[in-house]
Amino acid sequence: MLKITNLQARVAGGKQILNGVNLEVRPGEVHAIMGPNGSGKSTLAHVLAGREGYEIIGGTVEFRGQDLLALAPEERARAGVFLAFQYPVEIPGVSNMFFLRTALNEIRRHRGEEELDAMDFLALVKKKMKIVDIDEALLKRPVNAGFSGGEKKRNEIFQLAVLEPALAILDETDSGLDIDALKTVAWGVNAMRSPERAIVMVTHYQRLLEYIVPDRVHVLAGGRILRSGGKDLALHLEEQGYKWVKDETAGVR
Amino acid sequence: MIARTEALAGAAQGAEPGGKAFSAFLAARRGQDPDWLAEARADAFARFSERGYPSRRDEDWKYTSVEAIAATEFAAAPRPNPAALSPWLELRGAGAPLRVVLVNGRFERALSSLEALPAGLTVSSLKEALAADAEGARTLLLASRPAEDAFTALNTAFCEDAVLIRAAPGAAVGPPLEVLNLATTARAPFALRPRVALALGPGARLTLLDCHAGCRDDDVYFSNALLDADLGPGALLEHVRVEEEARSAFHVSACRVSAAAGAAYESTFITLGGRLARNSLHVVLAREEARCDLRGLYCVAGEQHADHHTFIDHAAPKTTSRERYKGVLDGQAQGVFCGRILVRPGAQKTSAEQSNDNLLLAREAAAHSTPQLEIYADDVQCRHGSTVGQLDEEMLYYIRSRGIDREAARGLLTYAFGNEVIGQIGFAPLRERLSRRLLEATGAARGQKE
Repeated sequence: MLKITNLQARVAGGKQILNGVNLEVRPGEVHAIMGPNGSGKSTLAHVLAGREGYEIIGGTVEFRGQDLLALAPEERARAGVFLAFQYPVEIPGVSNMFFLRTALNEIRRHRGEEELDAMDFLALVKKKMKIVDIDEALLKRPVNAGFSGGEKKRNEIFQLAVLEPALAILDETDSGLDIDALKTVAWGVNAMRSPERAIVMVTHYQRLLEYIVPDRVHVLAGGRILRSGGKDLALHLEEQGYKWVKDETAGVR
Repeated sequence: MIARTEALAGAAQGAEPGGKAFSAFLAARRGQDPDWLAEARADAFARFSERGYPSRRDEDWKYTSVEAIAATEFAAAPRPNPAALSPWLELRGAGAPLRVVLVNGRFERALSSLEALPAGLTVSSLKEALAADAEGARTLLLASRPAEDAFTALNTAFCEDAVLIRAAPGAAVGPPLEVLNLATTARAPFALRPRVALALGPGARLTLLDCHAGCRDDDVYFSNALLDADLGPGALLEHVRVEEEARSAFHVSACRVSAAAGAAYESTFITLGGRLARNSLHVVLAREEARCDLRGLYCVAGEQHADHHTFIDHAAPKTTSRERYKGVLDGQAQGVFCGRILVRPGAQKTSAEQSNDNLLLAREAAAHSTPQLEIYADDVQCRHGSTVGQLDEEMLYYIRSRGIDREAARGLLTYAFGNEVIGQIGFAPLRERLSRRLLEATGAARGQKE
């Protein structure tokens, strides 16, 4: 579904952050990308989502046979890519419901599907609300405005549930969550697992992986994937910390 | 421009209302105006004649030229058949069950819905008020006011009618009262001078939906509107003002509010129409613990010019003002905001906050934002801030990452920016109509199939 080959990127006019990332994700798989701060995890997530301000220096990203890097952010979303933001953006003045319905209908239109009217959309929302245990009052409020950290993360997963992308990228979805909120969010993500959908989790801590068990774990450091393995690799990281990563990176250089 | 050429042809010294026009007007009013009103008109006209229209050399008019108004000869407002106006009332009104309709500045009882006035509320036309209680009408209409200028003087000199509103002490009027000012279509430019005088007794509460609208966008007229409000101790006035004049119209208004001890004035000014719109809002917090909360949104495009001058006079201790105006400027539109806050000597424990945020959607659009704080007391808290900027790139990216293209994302954010102000309007039918209008104007309506 997603094939990243030797991807190199830098902040426009600035520092190179990705130094040749290789990653292949198949439908139905859950991958975790772990790494110390500054390893390039979030950059990778945003380069995949299409944020402006990065320059691709080399490599390719293929998503369901398409050149992902050639697409605008909205085209990627319509093609089935979803990024759950580490810091979801507040949009005062637009209700969550309104925003999400606009997004869903935009995506449906591009898929050649019928747009949902207010009634049908509400029915869909009621169904999806249960997945992340989100309060209906929150949906009527402006997007993320004044939400607590936990509410924002839950709202991201709620959007994921409504938009049903083929590939979900979760950027530090566990950060800032207490254990109950983490469990709720994890439950929501697990409910979205399916043989047709792939999930890529970017995280600093192993904690999230206790609740969302990955098929593959990758360690990203210095802008490239240093090691890949099964879910046990995360446990190894938990015990050893990232010190060995730093040592190995230093060795490589 | 067309109007201007005609006007110049018609009058050698520009087209300011001259003595002849005023004499003719007074003559026509004979039998309707008591002496004191005729005298007040003469005084006002003399004040206007002395100084004429303001020019851009006047500090208060630095960014707004009224040359086009001064150069146009405005005829008396036409008297259309009221029955033909019903469709416009539904389109332009606020949808309140309690409604006064003014057509071209004249109170039209037949079009108004005032049968079910709540206890403690009286609403009358100038004629009715003069017949019922001439002295009361005089006090309400002509109480001495600050902020007299050329335009308030012109209104006093030439207004043909007025709406006098009183709420008795303690009257908590539940349903909002709408005053819909409609300007109609005419062959030649005309002036209308809507006037509202309002007094809330101690502890009274009222919501006023003050709508100003035209019919067709190419109608040329000049609305010279004036609203005076006296709030008794502990009274609360919620004032929603919606300006949706024709795109070729001129709208110059003044609102003068005086708040007694513990009284509150809450206003939301929405300015969408007119080729030139200038709204002056003057609030005197006259006694302790009076407060005001002023919100505003001007959303203009093309060659429109929207100017808001507000003046909050903290004349007593422990008075509070909050002010938040926003502007959306597209095309070559110009937005002007001047927010003056005066804290008088002795007005200790005053708290004042002001902000003005402008969104520029096009390169040729411009915003002029001028806060003016004059503080003569030492124990006060005052804050102000103003911004002029473009849409937030981080927000655009977030929205696009959900499948919405850049143009639609811009529309959505513009809608969001403006709708924050509209969302403060408590009366749902009006709030929803304005939201819808903004939604369509910004293109954010896409994806919202009914």
